[in-house]
Amino acid sequence: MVSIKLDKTLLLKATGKKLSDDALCAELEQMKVEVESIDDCVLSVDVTGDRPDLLGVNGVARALAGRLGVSKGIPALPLAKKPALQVIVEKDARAIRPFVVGAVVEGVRFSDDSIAEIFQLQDKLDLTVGRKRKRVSIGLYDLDKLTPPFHFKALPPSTSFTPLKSDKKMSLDEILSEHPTGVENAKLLAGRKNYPCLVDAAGEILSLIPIINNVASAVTEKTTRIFIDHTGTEEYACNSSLNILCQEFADAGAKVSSVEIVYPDKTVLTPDSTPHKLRVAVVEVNKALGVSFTGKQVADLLTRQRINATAQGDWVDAQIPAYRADFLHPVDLIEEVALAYGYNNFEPLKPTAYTVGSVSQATMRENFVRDFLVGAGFLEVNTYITTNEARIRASRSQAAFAEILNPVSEEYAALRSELLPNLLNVLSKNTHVPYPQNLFEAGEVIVPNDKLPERMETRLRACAIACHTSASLTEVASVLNELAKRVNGKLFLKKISSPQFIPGRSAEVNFGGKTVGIIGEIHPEILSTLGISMPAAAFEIDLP
Amino acid sequence: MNSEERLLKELVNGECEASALAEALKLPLDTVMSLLSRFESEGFVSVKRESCSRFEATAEGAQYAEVGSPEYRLAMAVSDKTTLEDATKKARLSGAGQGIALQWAIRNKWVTPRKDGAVTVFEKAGKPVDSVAEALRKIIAGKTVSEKESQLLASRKLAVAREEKTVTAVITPAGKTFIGSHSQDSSQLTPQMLKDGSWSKAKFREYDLSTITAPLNVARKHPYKEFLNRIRVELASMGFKEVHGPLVELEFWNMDALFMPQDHPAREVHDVFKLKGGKGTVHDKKLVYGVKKAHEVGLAGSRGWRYEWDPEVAMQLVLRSQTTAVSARQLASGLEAPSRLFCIGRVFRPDEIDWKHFIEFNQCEGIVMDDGLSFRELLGYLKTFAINVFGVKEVKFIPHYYPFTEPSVDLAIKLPDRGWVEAGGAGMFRPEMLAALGVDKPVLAWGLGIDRFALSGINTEDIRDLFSTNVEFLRGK
Repeated sequence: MVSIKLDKTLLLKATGKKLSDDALCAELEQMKVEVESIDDCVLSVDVTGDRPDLLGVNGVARALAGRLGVSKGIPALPLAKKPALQVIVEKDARAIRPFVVGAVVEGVRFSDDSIAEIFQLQDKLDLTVGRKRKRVSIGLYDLDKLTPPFHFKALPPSTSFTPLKSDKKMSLDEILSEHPTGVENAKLLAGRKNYPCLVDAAGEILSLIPIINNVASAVTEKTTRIFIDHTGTEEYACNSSLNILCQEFADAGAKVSSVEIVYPDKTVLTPDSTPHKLRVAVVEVNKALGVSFTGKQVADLLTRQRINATAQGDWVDAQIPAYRADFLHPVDLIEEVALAYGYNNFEPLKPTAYTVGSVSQATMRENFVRDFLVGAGFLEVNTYITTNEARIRASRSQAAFAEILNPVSEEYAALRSELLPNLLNVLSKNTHVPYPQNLFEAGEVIVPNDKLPERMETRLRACAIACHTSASLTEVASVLNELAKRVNGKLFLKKISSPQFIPGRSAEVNFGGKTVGIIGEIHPEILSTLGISMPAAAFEIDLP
Repeated sequence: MNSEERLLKELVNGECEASALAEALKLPLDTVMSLLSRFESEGFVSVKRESCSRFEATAEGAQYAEVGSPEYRLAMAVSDKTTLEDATKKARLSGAGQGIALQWAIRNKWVTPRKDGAVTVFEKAGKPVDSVAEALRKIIAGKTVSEKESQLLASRKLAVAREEKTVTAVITPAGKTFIGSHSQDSSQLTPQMLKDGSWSKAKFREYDLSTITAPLNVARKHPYKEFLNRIRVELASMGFKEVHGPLVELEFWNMDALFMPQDHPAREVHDVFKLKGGKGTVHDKKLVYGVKKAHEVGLAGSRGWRYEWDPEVAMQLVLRSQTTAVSARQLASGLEAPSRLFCIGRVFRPDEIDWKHFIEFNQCEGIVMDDGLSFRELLGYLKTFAINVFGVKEVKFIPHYYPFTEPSVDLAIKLPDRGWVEAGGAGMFRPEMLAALGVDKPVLAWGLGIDRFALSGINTEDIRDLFSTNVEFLRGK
């Protein structure tokens, strides 16, 4: 979800309808725009990730107008045929950012609000479609301050200009190491000898791409002619993003002209606003949605989603506006039909499939052990799987465990491979609470195991600890023995020495000929380090 | 009568100090102390622990208490014109005692020295009262003495203050009832009475119902795990079969097999935990090829995401960030239609840690695979869940986006106290994803947001309480 703010007056004006706040929110909710808050002037909304065209106020208004039946089908994008200018892409820059698209917008009339909307849209497109400028990055320039044609070429790091949000000339290297926007995005140009820049015919630098623009050609409220560029690694994404911006301007009444991109080996006219063609079989629509629409009904519903559609026998041919890049498969058209029909207008169908349900063997085993241990007087705890090395070490555990590469906190940087350290941790936090404190946990642990494709094994385990004045190996071994009897198994304890337990008072637990865990009286040094002044004895076993 | 009962009975006579109890019951003091703390936790007695300073006679003081203070003895030995030597002899004072005795006897104005020629003689003056010995005797008897007396004794090193801890116990009404229920005359039914038939003549004392209970620490199952079990049973009863999957996953199963492009924002480090030093493998090469093709050029009539799919990225180990990974593994394992599966399991996502968010939580989700499944049937499932899992009738369907489903929908339910609340997400798996996993039938997928409903079940608003380490809280106190 992407959070944006929408100007309510601009939105309703563009829709051409009067709506109460409640009605407006209800409509938006059904078109993947969730309203978080609304007041007299501003809506704070969350837009789903598949609809970058709804990140501008005109985009939302356009979709809303379709929903309300005010206007249908593909919106007009009057594009002046003759290119307004040329961008010459040089080989060295192309090696860094292979694709360039551009457009010129004229007759722009900005107010404070509308310029903020445009910058918000640019910013959010950089973030989403642009994948933080890596895939696509966008530049807007005051064309009246520049001399076309423009060259896209790699320049040496010593080249300098005054970037936005700065008042002094900086070299390209300085921008990347000192300017906040440069520092934030420097990794996109890491390892480059020269840096890609847009330069006008007079040698004026427009921008360091994909980092920051020159303040000299910045767009302000006074700007009336804008040059837009998109550079990136994927042509399709660049073009659809450019179409979103161009449509946004066109809807606001501006005139859009194309730009000619001259590569060393070809010349391309952008933006390419040709609608995508996609066809869907009416029978597929009906099967997927569980309805029996006619071809004409399907086509009508699609036009409310600002798609041109015509029924052709068993098929519906659709033309999808170039600003929508979220159509990969006819199933995407089917969702548009469902959206237009209204999710809440479908009558939910009672489930038809018959299958036998069951709780898994693992869950049943876990519940069996939980029932038993509660009956034996142990209180169940439920702890996190994420833990930390200090906690594991405090229990003197020797077991290997996995670690997180990008933890949010050192407190949760490791993964438990045993339950005992967590139970000792619980005891250490409850030394003021009346004893006996007999605790257990049954749950999953993660054990490194290079033989598995995932190299980590998820295992179900149970651990019980008795902690009171007379807690002993005898006590917990008796519990374990009773548990073994209940599953008709023979328990065998084999003495081992472990730093976790009092010497001579610990054993390996063998069940049915297999080693399944450990048992013993917790070593006093562990208890005193953890501030526990009561003896404790524990066992931990696999629940295979 | 055992020592427990004797102790309680002793307390019926009134508040009593532990050492006095030990004496009265002829029990070691530490036995009394441990009985008292046990009775305290059972609510039968209330125990006051105080520390006070208490005077104790020194050896010298003890001697004075017995034979009188030296000054008193000196004074008593003086009659008219007695020399010091005579008086000392008569009072049987030692050399050292003599000096002290004389000094105090004069200060107390019990004797008056007078020059009689070359020698000093003493005459009896007032009527001596041996208050020093008196005070010492009081101390030895355990009685209190005045501040002035204690100061005097201390300055003369006849008594010293000792810090002493006193434990005083008082029986509670519950304790009295307990004795009542145990004492012979109030007739606790015993095996002997049943054997010899004396129960028929016995009179059973009535309980005071307001005081018969004592606090008890009962072991119990974790309410959150019980909540999850109730949902398991509910889903199993609807015909869903429970499945599990590994907590450490390959990105391949967690994302690539779900048709999430490799540059999708949800794959970045702030949305998924990656593991140190880890790359795994997928042995099924055909499967890997299918997923690669789905991403790069599309399968089943799709255009695909059109980028170069990197198998290395897919092999990175991550902590499962969605249980949909389990569904993907199930689908790839060659399920037969019809199949209905569910999974309740832990998932992990980097997030802020506060009362509303934690990096671990449980997801509950499942799939339905069968011929002829439709979006309307998916809505039917969601409505069934609303009724059977959440206990509400009023639902609302909200369009949403998930990379692996189309159409996608969120379930909102109307709660009487909180209004509309999002309760889950669902959709029909995309054809590209299904084709890559070798599935040729439609699959409905759903996930329910259960944690927030678990919270209201255990009366808390803090999501971290589901994993509380507070034993009192877990005991339900």
